[in-house]
Amino acid sequence: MTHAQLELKGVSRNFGGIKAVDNVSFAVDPGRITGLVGPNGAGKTTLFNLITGGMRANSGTIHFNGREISGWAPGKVAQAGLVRSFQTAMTLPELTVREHLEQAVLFKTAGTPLSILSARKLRAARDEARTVAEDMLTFAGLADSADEVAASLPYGLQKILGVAMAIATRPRMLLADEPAAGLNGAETARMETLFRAVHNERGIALIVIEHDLPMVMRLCDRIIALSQGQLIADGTPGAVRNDPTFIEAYLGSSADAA
Amino acid sequence: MRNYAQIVLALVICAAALSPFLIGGRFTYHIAILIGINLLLALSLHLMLRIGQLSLVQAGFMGIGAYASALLTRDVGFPFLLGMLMAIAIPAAIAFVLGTVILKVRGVHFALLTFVMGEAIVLVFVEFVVPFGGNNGLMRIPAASIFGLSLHDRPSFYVFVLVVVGAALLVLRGMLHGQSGRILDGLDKNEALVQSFGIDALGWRRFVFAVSAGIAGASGCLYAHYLSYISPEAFNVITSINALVINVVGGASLIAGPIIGAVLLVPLPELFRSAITYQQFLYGISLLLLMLFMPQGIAGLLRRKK
Amino acid sequence: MLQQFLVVAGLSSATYMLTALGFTLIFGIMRVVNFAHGEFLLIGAYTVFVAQYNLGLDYMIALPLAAVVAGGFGIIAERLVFRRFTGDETGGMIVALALAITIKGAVTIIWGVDSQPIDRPFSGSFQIAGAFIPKDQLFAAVMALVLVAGTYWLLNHTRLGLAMRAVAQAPDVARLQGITPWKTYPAAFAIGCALAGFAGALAAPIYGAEPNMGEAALMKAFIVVVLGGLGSIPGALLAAVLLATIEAGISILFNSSIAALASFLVVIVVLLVRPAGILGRT
Repeated sequence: MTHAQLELKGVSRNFGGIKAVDNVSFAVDPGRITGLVGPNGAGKTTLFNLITGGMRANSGTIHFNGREISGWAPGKVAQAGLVRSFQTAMTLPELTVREHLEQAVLFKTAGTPLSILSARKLRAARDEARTVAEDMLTFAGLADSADEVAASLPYGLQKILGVAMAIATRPRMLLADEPAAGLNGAETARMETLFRAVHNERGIALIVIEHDLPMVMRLCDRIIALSQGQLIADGTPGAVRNDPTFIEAYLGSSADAA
Repeated sequence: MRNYAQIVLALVICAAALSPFLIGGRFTYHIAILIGINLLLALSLHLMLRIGQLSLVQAGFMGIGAYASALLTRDVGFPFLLGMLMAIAIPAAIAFVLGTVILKVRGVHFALLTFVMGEAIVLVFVEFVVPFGGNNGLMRIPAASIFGLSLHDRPSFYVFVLVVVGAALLVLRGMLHGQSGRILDGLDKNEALVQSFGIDALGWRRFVFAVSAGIAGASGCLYAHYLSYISPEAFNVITSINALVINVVGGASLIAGPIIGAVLLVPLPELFRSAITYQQFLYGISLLLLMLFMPQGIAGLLRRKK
Repeated sequence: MLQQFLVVAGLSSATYMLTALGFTLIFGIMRVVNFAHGEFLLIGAYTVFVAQYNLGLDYMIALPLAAVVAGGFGIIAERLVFRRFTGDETGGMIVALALAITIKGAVTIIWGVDSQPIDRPFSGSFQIAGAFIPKDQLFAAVMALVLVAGTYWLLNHTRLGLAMRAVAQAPDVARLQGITPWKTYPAAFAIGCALAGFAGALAAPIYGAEPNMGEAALMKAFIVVVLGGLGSIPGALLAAVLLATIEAGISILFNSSIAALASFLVVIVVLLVRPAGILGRT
């Protein structure tokens, strides 16, 4: 592989004089699981927003699969195969779990208004959505609650549904924003298993923002640490864990988190 | 239960739409035509409300449609149908282009931006006497006719209005139900989420804005050719606000809402011409009470029974 | 011509500040776009009319009375109407429109659509450096500036003012500091509407009192507030000067409707480049 799958060069973003993301560069190879860690306010979610297009960088470039995606709208980034899941559980009112998964597929096909004008194409997309949803229900272990309204599920299951919806769009890379936040021990373990399956069975690359350090260390083969918008450590979990800058910036401030 | 209510409602609406033919009389047709024209404008706003953007420039688009069709048929010699086509296409194209930038503005700011745009459009009609006729507006706009068949008399014009309203309702149904409806609903309820799956949010919003401007333009075209006279103040923000009130009274979450609202509200000023002094106050106070005690509108009653 | 331009710009800056200040204060604290703001001007103007013709009061007494009446109506409106729509911006806008139609309708029923004359406290004009300054307009402008300064002092130097500013800037943080946001709402509405009442009472001797005067005032307040950033008080003051300058300049060079069109274009451009306005926060 000559090209990295995702490559950031000198990406910065300011909010009224505060450098939320400050000259961050890194490259991620296909099929890896990367952990993105750092104290609250380090700029992790801002970085995700910059990559997936919710926000425009003040400077720097972002490439995905060799194409520059800086400044693209979120929908376009997702169409290119780079999707994200959110820090909090997000559902649409009234829809069941199965419908959520089907809609994720249909939203991908119906990106632009013109794409669903053809009834034949729409029918084909609906058939596909049904198949994919069925598959994802088993894959993510949501089959038991398939026909329940998603918003009524326990929080942990809603977040698992969030990841499952992202995977249903068949991305090449998933950016997961604090997947274990707000989850209990059993739910966290379940999320971890799901991520391993996403990686091993679907071959999807992952970048995971997570405060649950033990989970990140177990799951990821590489850790990138941010503090005050800057990249302060980058390497294998073992190397980063022993990096003095990382210890000071992260563990030093919240030793109880480890 | 809900389906049953909907069928009954649809039948009542159809009966109401056909009732002028039974009742007859110039005044009846006049009211029915005005309901149709105002309903079109209310439907155009309804589309925008369903994606969560309160647009107060709809009357401006109606004005653009009215002036476009009036000028093209009267001065350029376009046949009525071609004029109408342009009355739909021109506002739609303007909305499509403007949408790229203005739809990025959200919430209150969008309402204010479109409010100012609506006033600006009216000022353009006032200020540019050539070709818009300034405050005097345009007179002697030719009556509608299709392939030589004149729609000058009120019953036949009403039939045409019904056809246009029917077409607009079909367009709205197509957009607000089915997969497209799911997408628009998702954009309203959780834009970040639906975008994360690959929805081109701006593209969809722009599409809705263009269609809505087109429907408003059609309303303006019918208005111009029905009254044969237009002037700028007919298209000011008050007209947009009336369309909003029609939606709110009827219920802004169902297509039936603006229909109910238009049927109830449009005849009022025409029926109570004698009580003109009290009209505005009664209108305001009813709207106020409605907002306080029935915020879902009349169509909301149907929904709650689900 | 330059002198006249400065006079016109200066006089209208002051009145725009006064109208926009009340409007932006209410938005900043309650997140309510008060479409009925112009109607509170109306209440102020008609209070002066009633005070002069029915009660035989002097203008100088009618002026503060107008503010008290408008402020009182503001408190009632907040309690009965707007409080139910906190957090629902669209609902708040619609209900404010309804209130505007109701007040205007009531005024029309009582006094009709014709303009009611108000006795001027001052008449005539004087000349400085070749520019005519009408005395009544100068009085209105000076009063407006005094009121703006007074409100500014109130917001910056009193407990109530500090609480209101805290709520406007960050309701959640204010709550943590022991400020209950909704307790500042009646005060915000009272002050905002009293300022509108003053504005109406100051405009009344110059233009008379008539049911449509609220609309034009609301439009100016809109433009100023949107330009400056909804809820931003320094933004509103700055934008008032900006709008008055643009309008005065273009009115002198062309005519007033071109000036209005130009001010709309400026608003549209500013909103597109900086949706939150010149000094607004995103």
